[in-house]
Amino acid sequence: MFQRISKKIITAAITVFIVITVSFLMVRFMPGDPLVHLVGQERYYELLKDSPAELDRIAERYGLNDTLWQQYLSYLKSIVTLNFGIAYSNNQPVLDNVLNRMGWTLILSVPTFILGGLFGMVIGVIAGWNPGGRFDKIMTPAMLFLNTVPSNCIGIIFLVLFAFKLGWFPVNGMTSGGLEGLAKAVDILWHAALPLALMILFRTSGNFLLMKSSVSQIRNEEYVTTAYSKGLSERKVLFRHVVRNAMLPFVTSLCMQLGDLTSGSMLLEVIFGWNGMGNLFYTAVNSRDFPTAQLCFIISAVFVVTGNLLSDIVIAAIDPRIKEGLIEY
Amino acid sequence: MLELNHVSVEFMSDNNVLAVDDVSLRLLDGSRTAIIGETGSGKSVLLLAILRLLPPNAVVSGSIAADGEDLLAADSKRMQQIRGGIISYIPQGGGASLNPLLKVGFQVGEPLIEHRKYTKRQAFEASIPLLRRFNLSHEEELAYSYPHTFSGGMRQRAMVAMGIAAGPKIVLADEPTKGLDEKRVRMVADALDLIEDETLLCVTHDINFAKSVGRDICVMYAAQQVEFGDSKEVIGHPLHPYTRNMMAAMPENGMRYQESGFAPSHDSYTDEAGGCRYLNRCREHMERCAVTPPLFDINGHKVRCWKYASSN
Amino acid sequence: MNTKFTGERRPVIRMNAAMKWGATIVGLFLIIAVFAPLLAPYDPYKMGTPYIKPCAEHWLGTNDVGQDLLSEMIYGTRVSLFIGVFTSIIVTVISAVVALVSGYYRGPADKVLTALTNVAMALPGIALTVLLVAYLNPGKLSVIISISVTAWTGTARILRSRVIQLCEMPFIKIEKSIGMNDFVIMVKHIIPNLRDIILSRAALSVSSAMMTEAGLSFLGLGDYGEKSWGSILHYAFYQNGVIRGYYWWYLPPILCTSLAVLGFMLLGYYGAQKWS
Repeated sequence: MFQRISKKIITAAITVFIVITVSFLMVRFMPGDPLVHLVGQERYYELLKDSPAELDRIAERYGLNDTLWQQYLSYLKSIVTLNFGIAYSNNQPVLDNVLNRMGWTLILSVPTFILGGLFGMVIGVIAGWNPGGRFDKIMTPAMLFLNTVPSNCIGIIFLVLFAFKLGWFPVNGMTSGGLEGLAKAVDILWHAALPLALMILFRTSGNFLLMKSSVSQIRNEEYVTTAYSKGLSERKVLFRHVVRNAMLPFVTSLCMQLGDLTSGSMLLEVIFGWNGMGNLFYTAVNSRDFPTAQLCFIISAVFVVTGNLLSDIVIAAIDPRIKEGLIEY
Repeated sequence: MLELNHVSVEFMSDNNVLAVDDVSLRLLDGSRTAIIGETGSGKSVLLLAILRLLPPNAVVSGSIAADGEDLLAADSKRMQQIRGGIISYIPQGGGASLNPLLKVGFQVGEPLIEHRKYTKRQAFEASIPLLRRFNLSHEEELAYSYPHTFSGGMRQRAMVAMGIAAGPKIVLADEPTKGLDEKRVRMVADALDLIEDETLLCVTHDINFAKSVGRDICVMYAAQQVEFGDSKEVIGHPLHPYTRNMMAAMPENGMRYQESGFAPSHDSYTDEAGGCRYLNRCREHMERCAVTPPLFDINGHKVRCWKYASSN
Repeated sequence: MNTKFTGERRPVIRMNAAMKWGATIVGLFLIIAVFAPLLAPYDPYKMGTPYIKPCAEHWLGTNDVGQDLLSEMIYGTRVSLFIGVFTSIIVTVISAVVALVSGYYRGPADKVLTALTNVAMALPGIALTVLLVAYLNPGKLSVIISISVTAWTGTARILRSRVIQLCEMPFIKIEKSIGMNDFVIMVKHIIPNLRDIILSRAALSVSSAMMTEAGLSFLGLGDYGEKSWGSILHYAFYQNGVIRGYYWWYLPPILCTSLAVLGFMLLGYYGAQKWS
């Protein structure tokens, strides 16, 4: 089994490597002068007018006159030394910017992961155990609706309704400034309430659908009849046999949701003015601030790859058939 | 003693399906009865009906009583006590009858957890001699292994062990030899032989297996019981045309079935009282056969055929 | 309980109530898209008096440069549907090809394709799409390409496992051993058996593609020239329509996008249920 895990880790590492390479190639092969993208459009034209010699020196420094291969190697080297460049927007190190913002995104995405997982699992089991029952008939269409409606659409509606019209929640931003300690924490929570509520709703709906379909399928398996035939009560059959087996695909999905910790909330962050990594990525792409966009992308990819890797490992640990390599999933 | 009186099972849906039509059986303590019939004849449904393991859209009519206790009227708590504890079920071997995520020892010992309040550890320990009893070697290893490591024959025998674990009085076995080769079939027959004291009701499509396992045989066709009697009698001197054909068709008897299409029937047995079900394939039909014959009793050998109407 | 005693004949495509709703919604939008020039009261690009509230002449009012919103929405149906459906076609074809080659031939082709699928699945979808759209020249095609690049993996995986299942079936094995041409087997036997799941996944892809396009256009990364519902919403948001309470700016695109996505989702989800 360790063989298979190490193979998967290697694959994951290779994927990250490919991502890094792709982001390198995309910048280098952008239409137009790469120097423009490196330095930022405004500054480029400034320098072009005032001191073109400076431009040449920058080109030298960034190795733009080197061969592609040399550039690639020095790019790799800079990544390994965690030197991700300077952001165009505020001339701060990209790494600092991004890490700062990442924290804000995590404030939204971690509770979403936990609560969305819990709620979705619980109501999914309840609905799946009695498919076609009253609970199911109400929940499934509702959850289906939540799952299909684009997040920006409902986001705007929530914004209009709860923030503008009813004034229950602030319209924008993350804090109101000037607060300390507990008051600040509460204030942040108040600002986060709407986007957080939405994200949890969306995540719950997806988890619900998955768990429900899993449970209602498992319910019909022959070993469930066998369990009943041994005299187990409905509750025992549910918890000892059904939920345990239904968790398999659910846990897999849950691990993959870890990948969304940094990349899942972009639209909502933009709508609610939440300055997390998603918002940063968006503004960076819009303003062609490539160092920043690149790092956001790489970090997101690392999370996703790790999430997938984790889900592979976890499911192999839980399902004895996969552990022994008997089933390819 | 298990008594079934005019038991019928109907599945309600867009087209109602009558899966079991008026079956009556009386199983004395210690008796061993085999039910034979082709796929779709209703035999497995009958077993599940006894333990009330059918889906909600199944309607069971008639009466089913174990030692005088009405099973159809028992509440769910009582049924839980009965299932596995007094009447147990050995599932079909398919491979999906054991939970793939739980160790075999636990599943075999689970009836003991339910009915004798064993702990998990005790259940594991008890499963080992049970497995050994049914000739599964390396029992300690096997008890801590998962179902997918077992072969079909091993799984079937483990399920027999599971069925008798909590010491039930009546054992219902559902097609225990499905998909097994001859050698394994014999192993299962031997396994069932080891259950000496309990009442056995075994459903199978394998006539030879039925002969070795059952002292009485009940033949089902198209949801109905068409013949019942001592197994030597039914096999040696079958009365019903269907049974006759079935016996004649066996390789050891020369495969002399009468044509008239001995193809497995895919008819849907809907709720029409339209005469003898075997009418379309019977070479000996008469005019009377347009009416459904009742079960005639000829010295303990029962048969549902108008040919035996006068001999009572 | 798995015993079945009846043999029914299966109708060509069985639709349950939910699917019928989905089909109705989709059909409605298709009609609007096709007959857009006939239905729209004005030319959506023609500018006029801005900020008009909904009234008799302009049922949905006008936007910030005076374009009639109703006409925008009607023409927008074309763009949004086009991108959604086209992307879905590309995604379905790619995943079907990958799944067939990978599942039928197995061996090294399978290993390579599966590795490719895993890598593509591991990339963060939204981020890559955003990046690609910014990278390529703006236009419908680049939106379609950007979405397609990562959207094919899910269907490919599902189809592949189904193809493998089918290949294990006796009738396929027999055909292979007779020496029947691989291509013929695939077309005559395997693809028809995949029909249900392909159709259902295709419907789901449309809905997912429309969602992504709506998101992209909302962020201003979509096709600048064409008006899709997402871009209408973009201008609604960024021209402060939300703050100023111009509900006729943002409600129509939201409602239409949600409805269309829902329509395709109903078709696909309940169709998938039938299969599983």
